[in-house]
Amino acid sequence: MRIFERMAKTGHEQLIFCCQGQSGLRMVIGIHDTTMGPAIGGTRMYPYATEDEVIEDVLRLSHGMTCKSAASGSDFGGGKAVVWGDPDTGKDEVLFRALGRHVESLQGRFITGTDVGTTAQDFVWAARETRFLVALPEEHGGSGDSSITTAFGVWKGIKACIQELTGHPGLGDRTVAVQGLGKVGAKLVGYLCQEGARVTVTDTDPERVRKVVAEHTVEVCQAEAIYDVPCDVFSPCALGGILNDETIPRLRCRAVSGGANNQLAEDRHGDLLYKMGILYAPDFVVNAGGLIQVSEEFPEFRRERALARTAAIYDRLLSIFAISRDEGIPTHRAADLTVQRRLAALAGLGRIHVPSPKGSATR
Amino acid sequence: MEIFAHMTRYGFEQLVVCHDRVSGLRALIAIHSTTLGPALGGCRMYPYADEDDAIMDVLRLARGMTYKNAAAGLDIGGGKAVIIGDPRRDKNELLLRAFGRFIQTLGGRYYTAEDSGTSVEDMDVIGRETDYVLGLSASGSSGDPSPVTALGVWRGMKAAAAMRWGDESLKGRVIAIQGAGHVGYPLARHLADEGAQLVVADVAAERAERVAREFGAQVAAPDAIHAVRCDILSPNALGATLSSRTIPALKCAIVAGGANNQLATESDGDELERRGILYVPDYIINAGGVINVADELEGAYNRDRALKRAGTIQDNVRRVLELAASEGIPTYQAADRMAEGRMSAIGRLHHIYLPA
Repeated sequence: MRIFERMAKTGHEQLIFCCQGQSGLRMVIGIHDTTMGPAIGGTRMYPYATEDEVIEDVLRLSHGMTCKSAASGSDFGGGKAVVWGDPDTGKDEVLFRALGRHVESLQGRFITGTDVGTTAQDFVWAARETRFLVALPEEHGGSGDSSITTAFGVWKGIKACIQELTGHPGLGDRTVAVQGLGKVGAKLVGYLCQEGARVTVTDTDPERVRKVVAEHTVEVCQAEAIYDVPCDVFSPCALGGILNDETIPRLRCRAVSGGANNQLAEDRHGDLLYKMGILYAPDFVVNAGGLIQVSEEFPEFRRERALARTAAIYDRLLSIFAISRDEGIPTHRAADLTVQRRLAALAGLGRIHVPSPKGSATR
Repeated sequence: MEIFAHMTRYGFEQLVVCHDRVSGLRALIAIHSTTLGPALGGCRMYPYADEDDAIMDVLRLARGMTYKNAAAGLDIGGGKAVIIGDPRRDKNELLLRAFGRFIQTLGGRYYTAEDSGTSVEDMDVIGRETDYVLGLSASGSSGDPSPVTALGVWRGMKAAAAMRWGDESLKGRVIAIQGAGHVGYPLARHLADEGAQLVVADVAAERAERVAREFGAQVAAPDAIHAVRCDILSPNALGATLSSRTIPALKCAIVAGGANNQLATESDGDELERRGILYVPDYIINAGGVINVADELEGAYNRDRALKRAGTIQDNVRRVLELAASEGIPTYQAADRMAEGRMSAIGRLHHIYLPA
């Protein structure tokens, strides 16, 4: 499909192809929508096979950020950057400084930080060229590792599901199957065990499993078997696209609520879960803790405020479940509806003329 | 098309794809180089059949502006914008303002101006959303650039004459002017004032007749002007008039005119060289227009200053022709080398640290 055609389909504002000679930088910045404020989203680095895949990924991810930001009540638009290169061999100071220079050239319309294939440390280089970064290491003025906040939000999301299903939010003796024990999954297990939930875990990396088992009393299953575990809540915290034609019929859970991005392989898989009576907590609502944390870096980071806003994921999910019930639509569509409603409402506010509008993303 | 392959091969900085759902705007802004300063280049509106054609066009034109601006001695980089659409049907306030809004997002890294398919009035509308548009209708704006372009072409011709005949005077020279429009007409006045003998052609017959009436020019057919026996052929209309079809018929000693992209291909530049015809590279001699509009960036626009600077085109042409002669290369290559040399030399000045 042609670029403009794809942008028109998702309502994208801008795609910015950036190059720099010495570093060989090839990056696309995708700005989906800035109705709510400057676009925010991480920078991914990946050795894509073709340019088309680069464009496809940046469009998909930047659109997702608008949803996440709107659903979390942040005053930021959706954006994402994708560096076409191999993170294992292609990183150096010049590359990230060139990246920073391009980000700076957008004057704050796009704010970025670490994502898959990049680390907070990489952006310490970029910070020499641009002010528009989040999630820098704490010693460099950032809010640091956001996975704790994300895990905290996922825990709240699981409690909202249990509340919806049983009328009580307590997780004592409830069963949860956690897929993936990375930064978010491992911390989530901590919150769940602390509350007395019975947890089954899996990860493709045995070292990660060993670490979690050493700290918590959990069951362990094979990576592929996690879909078949009878439980109250299945919590995907690893890859995207894991809710698909193959896995959904196997699920023995009452609800899905996890930290992974883009859990539904396609929109219709959300419809399928709905038909099967499995309560799906939309991913971009549940996993917004990381975004909430970095959005709280403006004007000055306060952890308590970030955690309070992340705790509100619980109420937000309950209201999405209510829309789903009232309007008879699947939860993922109810979540999309709340995104569209917030965008429309905020766009309307811009019609009131104020001599010098108050900007949100200023330190 | 492979965008990154093209961008890295030709050293581009940014390609900005802009889309607005409400107005239906589809625009591309290409920033080739900002080594010398903010990028400047016009905004073209054209109903491209295919998105790839639009991308290729904006990239090609932006790179051309880098060379033109650098060679003209301006502290300005190269950029260009295209709006995909039919200027007669698809243009409206909302579309132009959405475009202006996107220019503003670049914070002054790119300045736009009128080009084919857009007008001064369109720039006024774009200017409601952005500070980075030049050539508005308001007083203090640079206004019609054509007389300045014409002055530059005239002075460039004199440099070529000096190189060819050892005398910069155009008195008594036979000059064939292809196109008697915005640039061709004021150029004819300069040449007639100096005592040149003119032959003129234009697809609009009344424009050619006006030049005949006012400056005593002979009129030729538009499809025959390139083959007129003359000292200087001056293309001032469409691009690509120097091609494998026309070059064998040329009966001139010099080609020097205000049109853009006069060579259909680079090999046509080699062919002119082989035939002993002195080709004055188009972007060197026609830089008066951009020199004029760029004067707005120096504070208040000053026409005298713009005209004076356009006069330096004579020195630029001389330098390019001398470089071509001393290096034994075609003139179009000498022009590129001069532009690249200036960018690299001035770019190095950034290496000297300045306290804030």
